Amino acid sequence: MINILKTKLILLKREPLSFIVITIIICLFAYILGLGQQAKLPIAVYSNLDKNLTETMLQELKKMPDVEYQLYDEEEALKLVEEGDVELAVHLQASSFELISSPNFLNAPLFQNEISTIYREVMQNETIVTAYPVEQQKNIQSILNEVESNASFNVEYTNFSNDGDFIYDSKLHSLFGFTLFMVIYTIANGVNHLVMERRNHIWSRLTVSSIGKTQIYIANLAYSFLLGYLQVVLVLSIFHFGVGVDFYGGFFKTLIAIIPYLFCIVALTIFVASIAETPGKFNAFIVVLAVPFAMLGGAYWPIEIVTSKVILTLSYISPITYGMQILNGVTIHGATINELFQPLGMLLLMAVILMGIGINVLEKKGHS
Amino acid sequence: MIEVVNLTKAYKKGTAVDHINFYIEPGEIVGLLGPNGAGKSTTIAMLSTLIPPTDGDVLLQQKSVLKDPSSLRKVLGVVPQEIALYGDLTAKENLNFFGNLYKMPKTQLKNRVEVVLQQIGLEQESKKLVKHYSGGMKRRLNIGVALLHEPQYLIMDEPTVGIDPQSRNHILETVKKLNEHSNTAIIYTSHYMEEVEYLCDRIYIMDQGRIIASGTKEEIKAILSSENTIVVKVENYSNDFMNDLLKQPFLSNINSSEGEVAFTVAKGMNFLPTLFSLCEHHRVLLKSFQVEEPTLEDVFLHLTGRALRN
Repeated sequence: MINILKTKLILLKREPLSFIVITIIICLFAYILGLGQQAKLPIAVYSNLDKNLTETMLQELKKMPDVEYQLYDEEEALKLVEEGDVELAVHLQASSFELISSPNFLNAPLFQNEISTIYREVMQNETIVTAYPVEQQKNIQSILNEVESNASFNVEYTNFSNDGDFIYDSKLHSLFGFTLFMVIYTIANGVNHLVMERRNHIWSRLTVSSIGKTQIYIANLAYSFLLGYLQVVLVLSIFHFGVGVDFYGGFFKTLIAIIPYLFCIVALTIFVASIAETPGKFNAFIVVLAVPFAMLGGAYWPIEIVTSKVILTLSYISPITYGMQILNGVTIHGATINELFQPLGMLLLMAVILMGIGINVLEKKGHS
Repeated sequence: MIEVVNLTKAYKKGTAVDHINFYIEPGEIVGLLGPNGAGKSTTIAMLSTLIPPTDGDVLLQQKSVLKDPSSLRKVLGVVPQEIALYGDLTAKENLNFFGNLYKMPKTQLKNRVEVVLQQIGLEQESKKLVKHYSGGMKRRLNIGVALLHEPQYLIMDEPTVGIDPQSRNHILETVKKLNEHSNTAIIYTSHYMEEVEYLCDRIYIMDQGRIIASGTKEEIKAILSSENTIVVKVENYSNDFMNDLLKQPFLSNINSSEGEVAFTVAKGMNFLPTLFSLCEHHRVLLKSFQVEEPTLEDVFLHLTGRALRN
């Protein structure tokens, strides 16, 4: 078995093009669709506060995700809003703040809430610090910082996957979607070896050797699985460690949770191999299956925004649906294994059925 | 000894192999002849334990191998008609890969790879990718892979198809030497009757799933011992001339190609007056005629009514 695996790896080393191309395609699409469109919302800030307080305020404001605060003078900031270059400007004053928004910007109330909280906290701290004599202010500021980092009460916000709320992270969605979709082709390339070997009678040679057929199947399937897994690990690692995509602390869980999906895809491709006579037909069948599966499974867009009952019903036949549920579950929703029992179970059930039928049909054909 | 007993393979569409019996003893070369669709490939697939028979048995040293094929697989090498090799591996890598499948110890495998490369004459080209080999080199390596584990029995299915005469001669010599030096028993199928005549001690002729004749070359040829094959060279050859020849009751197995007409007649039959009169009647110029002993091809034609390569 190890011998077969080693040989397949040598063959991959000699012909790595399709593996590399598919990996690049996943990275490109995930980046363009997920991260490329995620430019931060620019917001102009002008201030009547003193320099130090303005800087403190800006530091706090910049902690808001997906928003880019930039300091301008008043005239410049208002011109930017007027000309539509920014949707919102914030005027910081000693007693309050003011928002100047473009007419089409509908999220101003949301920003008002967020900025109000930050403004209140900063001003409160400033009031406390300035209430003390100048020589003690440094000490008071450090006490305040200490209190902030070791609060008496720790308030946490959690989301339950079953509370009906749809949480969408476009970066993770496009990354997971394209990875799950394109890895089908990589695994199919691995299984296509088996189709080619049957076609050119290498399979017969393996069968009449001293190793058992089970070992031959396991070696071939393990190779396809490892090929897919290697690609997934590579792509997710690039995005996590290289691009800095937030996996909500679930990066390593993602690498484990994807295993049932890959197993199911190996089974699916074996099933396709059992009905395709030639490598050409096999590739054609894979394309015909993979694209609709990606559409139905929510690889291109979140399945949660689809309203058609027909499409939602059809989505149950796509392994990508369950793959997306599992990956979103272990990252965005912080779900446990129990909460993911249904998609995990469905993938394993599909895998067992497809693998069973596929290998049986292949064996029957081998005997005819 | 390998024995095939009442071996049968039936499909929904019909019976591919119909209760055939044959045997092969250590050290002999046996030819399996038959036109396309005769059932040779199915027989070989069953014999090499690739597909199970519908009925019958394959015995190795009088023990059935159907339930436990591993005993046969250890002593059997199969050279498929197709080039069953990895094109993106070198000859050495291919040999190492397939040798490992027989769980050979590392040092033994290393030695065997060197020996086999010498046997098939590829020791200078062993580090070249197989996809860059000529057809003949690929055929030789295809044979080499089957020799790695030093099988006592070797099945060769059309091992010389589609190669140049030089490579073909090399393969025939390799097979002959292998049989003589290693005492390997060989089952050899081919469309080339001269290869079978050159190599084989005994011959089985298959047609429509059955063995219709068997024996040594001499025994097979003796099927036509009461007849002579006549080859006539003519000019101005016409269809009417052929039609009149076909009407002659004492001529059989009439075959024509490029100014040559071959037929068989009973020994002692004076066919010349009829032949001369037909030539004169159709204004066909008779250039020469030759009386030949029957060949395997003639026997094959006589038994199946078809030429081997039809």
